[in-house]
Amino acid sequence: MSIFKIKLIDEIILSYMKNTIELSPLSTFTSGFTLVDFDKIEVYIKSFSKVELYEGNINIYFNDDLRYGIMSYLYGSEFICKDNVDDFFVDHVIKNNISELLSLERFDSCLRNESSIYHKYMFKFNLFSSEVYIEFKKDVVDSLYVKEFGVDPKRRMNESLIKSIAMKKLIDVDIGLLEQSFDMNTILNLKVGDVIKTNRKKKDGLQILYKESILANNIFISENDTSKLIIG
Amino acid sequence: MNNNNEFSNKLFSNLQVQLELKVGEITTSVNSVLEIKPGDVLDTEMKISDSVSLLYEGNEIASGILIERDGYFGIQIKRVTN
Repeated sequence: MSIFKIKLIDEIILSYMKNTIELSPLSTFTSGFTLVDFDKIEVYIKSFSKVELYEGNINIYFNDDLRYGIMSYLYGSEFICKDNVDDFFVDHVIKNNISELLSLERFDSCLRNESSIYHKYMFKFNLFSSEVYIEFKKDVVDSLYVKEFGVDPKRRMNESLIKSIAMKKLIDVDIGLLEQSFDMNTILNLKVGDVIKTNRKKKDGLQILYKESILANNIFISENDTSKLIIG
Repeated sequence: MNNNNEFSNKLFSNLQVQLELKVGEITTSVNSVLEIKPGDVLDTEMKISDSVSLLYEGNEIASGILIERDGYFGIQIKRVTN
């Protein structure tokens, strides 16, 4: 398995998490996946409760603290007690609310099993001071791979082919200016009608930006019937 | 209230904040971005006369119109986000 292909699969999983669970801070997540020994993780979460989504292709593991946290969050701490919660009811509530609740949180690690790269990915969250793991099964990862790149992940591919597919992926880039310094007082007291000056000369043009990186530094916009970006 | 304002003005008088100015957004392929070189011309549907956003850590704090002031880019504020 080439490193490049592994990175692509990581990207697919991350974009899936972003699009479906809508983890808003995900775009700032850059540290990548941590390789782990899943046997140890599985022993560790053995006592956790499990909720299955999509016929077991996505599993959510959580411990008792999460049960109490979610039920208290939804119904109030005085309504529910830790020891008398009906398991079936709690599982039902968690299943129906977990995506929304996790969307408010940032996951603090992504775990990947190196030996069976397509088999398991896990995301660890800290929600209500509880650890939550989301596990993606092989079929989900495979189907996302096919959807993203239009090829079967089991098919043997050379790196240049994978690269050429990745290069055709569409991305949104910003046109603007990164890291413009302004006086804090000016910004705090900003009101309609104010004019604030950047530290960028107009003759230097704008920038093409992608995730806080500058891709091109001297961009000029020509506007007639349609706008054109001229790379300087 | 005025004392509070004076206090905060003094407190922040020497502080600078880093903001991003977003004029527009275009969708393009990874390949096109990586191959950009001086002299290239890209067609877009972006209108520079449309609202320009002032962003702090990705969140819009104000918007306005892109202008030139003393040879530098500037923004005339049209809306301040609460």
